[in-house]
Amino acid sequence: MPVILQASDGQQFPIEKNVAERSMLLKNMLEDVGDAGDPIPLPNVSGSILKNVIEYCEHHKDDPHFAAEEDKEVFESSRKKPDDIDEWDANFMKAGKGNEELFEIILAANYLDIKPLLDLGCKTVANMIKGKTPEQIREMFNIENDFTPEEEDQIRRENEWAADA
Amino acid sequence: MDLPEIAVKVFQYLEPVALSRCERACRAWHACLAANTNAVWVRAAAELSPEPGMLPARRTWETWKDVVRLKHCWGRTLPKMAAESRDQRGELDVRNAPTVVDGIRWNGAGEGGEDSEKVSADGRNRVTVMDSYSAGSFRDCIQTQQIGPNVVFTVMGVRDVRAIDIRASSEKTLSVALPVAACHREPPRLQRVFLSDMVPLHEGMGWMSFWDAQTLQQIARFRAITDDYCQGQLCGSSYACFNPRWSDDGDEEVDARRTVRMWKLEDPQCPRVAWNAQLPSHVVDVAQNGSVVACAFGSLLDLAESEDDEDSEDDEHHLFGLEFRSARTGNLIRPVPDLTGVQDIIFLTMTRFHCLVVRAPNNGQVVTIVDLATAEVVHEIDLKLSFTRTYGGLHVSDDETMLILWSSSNQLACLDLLRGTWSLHQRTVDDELFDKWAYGVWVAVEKDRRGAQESDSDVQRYTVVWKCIGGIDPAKRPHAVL
Repeated sequence: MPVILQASDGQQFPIEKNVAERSMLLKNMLEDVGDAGDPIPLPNVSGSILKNVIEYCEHHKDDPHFAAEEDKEVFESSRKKPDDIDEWDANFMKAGKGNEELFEIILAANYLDIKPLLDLGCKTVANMIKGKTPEQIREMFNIENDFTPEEEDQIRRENEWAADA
Repeated sequence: MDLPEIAVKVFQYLEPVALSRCERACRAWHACLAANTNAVWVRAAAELSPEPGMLPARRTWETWKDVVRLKHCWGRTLPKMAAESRDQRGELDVRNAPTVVDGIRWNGAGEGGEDSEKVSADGRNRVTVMDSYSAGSFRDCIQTQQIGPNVVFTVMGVRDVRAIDIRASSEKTLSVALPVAACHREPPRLQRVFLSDMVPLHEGMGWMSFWDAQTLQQIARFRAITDDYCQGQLCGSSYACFNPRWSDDGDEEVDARRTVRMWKLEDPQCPRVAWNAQLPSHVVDVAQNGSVVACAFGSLLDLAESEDDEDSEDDEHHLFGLEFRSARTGNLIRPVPDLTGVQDIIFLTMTRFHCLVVRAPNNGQVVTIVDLATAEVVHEIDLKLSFTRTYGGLHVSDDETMLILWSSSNQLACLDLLRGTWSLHQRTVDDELFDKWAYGVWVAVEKDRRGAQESDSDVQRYTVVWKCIGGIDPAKRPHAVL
């Protein structure tokens, strides 16, 4: 029996149970309350974003599950490289997605507790930041420079050692 | 990146340069990075570890960002020094051979020649000026002391103690006013620190106070020596001290200057352990590393005293020596090294592995490096006449492989404790320089002679500067020149 997910805008998405279980939130929910066939409301995720998330989960439905302990190992996760992204995932993140949509997917992954998708989103953003100057970073993410000139100069000096790298 | 926890996940994938640029993006990102320093910088630190899967060593007061920054500085400095050492081995005795640092070449006799291409138009050496900071109301008495973790230095006048954070270009004043120095015979004195984040201060009359370098709150205060002066060194929360001067009490059976006291700051009621040094003369300095306490004797003062005393055996006083004791029990734990000669011991300092004795035979300067495991002398570095003797300004580098000495004549000697080699840095303008070295950064308090008038106040005459020295890529020579 398919699991029906209902987005914040009312759109419904019937998906296989093993696809839904890529989300730890949904997996725990299904284990706790069982699958009654009623739509599961996801008020924090819009239909267009949920569609993307389901696409990702369907592609990865046969991947082994992340061990919970691994998540706790800060050092282990720290050794992962941002450019360690497989080709399908890279194309999935690129395919016509703007910054806004990318961040919505990251937030949805965080809400639905889909760690591999959350990591993928964070790696993608990290790769966007790499090689950019502070000004380019602000422009890319539409960030206002709210430092005073004195503060900005002070922070630049504090990080001067890294600028020589 | 609306949620801080997601932002932190993104930052964890960035390398140091990108991280430092993110800190400059906006206040929110800066605050997020500051609040999650260790989580964000741990990956960059892990990549510095020589063993895959292992993190490099980190002291309790350091963040992973500090480690990355430190390693980065040393990564530029050490290869240059190693290359210099290799270059010399074929021709010179590396123990005695000065090397080239930042444009000045010195020979063993102390006659230097400038490399004009590397000296700025006004005759000063080129150094990278990281920052320059005029610090308040300096008086003629200026001292500095490095304290982790934020490389805080204290500078003081007669009764004015300040902490300067060189990364933030800010200063703080101790929250509790010190006693008026005029009440005592001496002005307050900062004392040396190893592996601690507290500032030890001799207020006068043997009274010591200890200050948290971050909060500037007083941690402890007690009278460590019941006399007018106390000298010692803090390691962690353990303070070793002695009385360097004759007591006025002529009835004492034991020379008070031989008594060494070990205090724990947590228990200021009485010393945890005390002993009388079994040395032929009084103690001239103590140093400790948390497990071993070294006491030294031998000074020109001894010699002068022996000449006054017609009955004394001069040779007995023409010695210098050490004893090593357990910091916990005060028991002798190492044989006394076999050291002789008419030597004026100026300083003792320690690392976890070495005891470093800075002496001044005649007008030169000799540094003896004693291996604490064997109590044997592993290197004796003679700086000869090229290094004017120093009475202040020594620092062990953060990775404990170098001893940095300031002379009173604008020279900086960097001693490689592992290889026994050394190098000199010379400034060509006779500014007044004070210590220190920390995290690859040289900090000095200098007297500004450019346009300074006799009538200028101390505020106008003195400036605190900090600079990066050694290992600077010639292609990235500093834009700013002092």
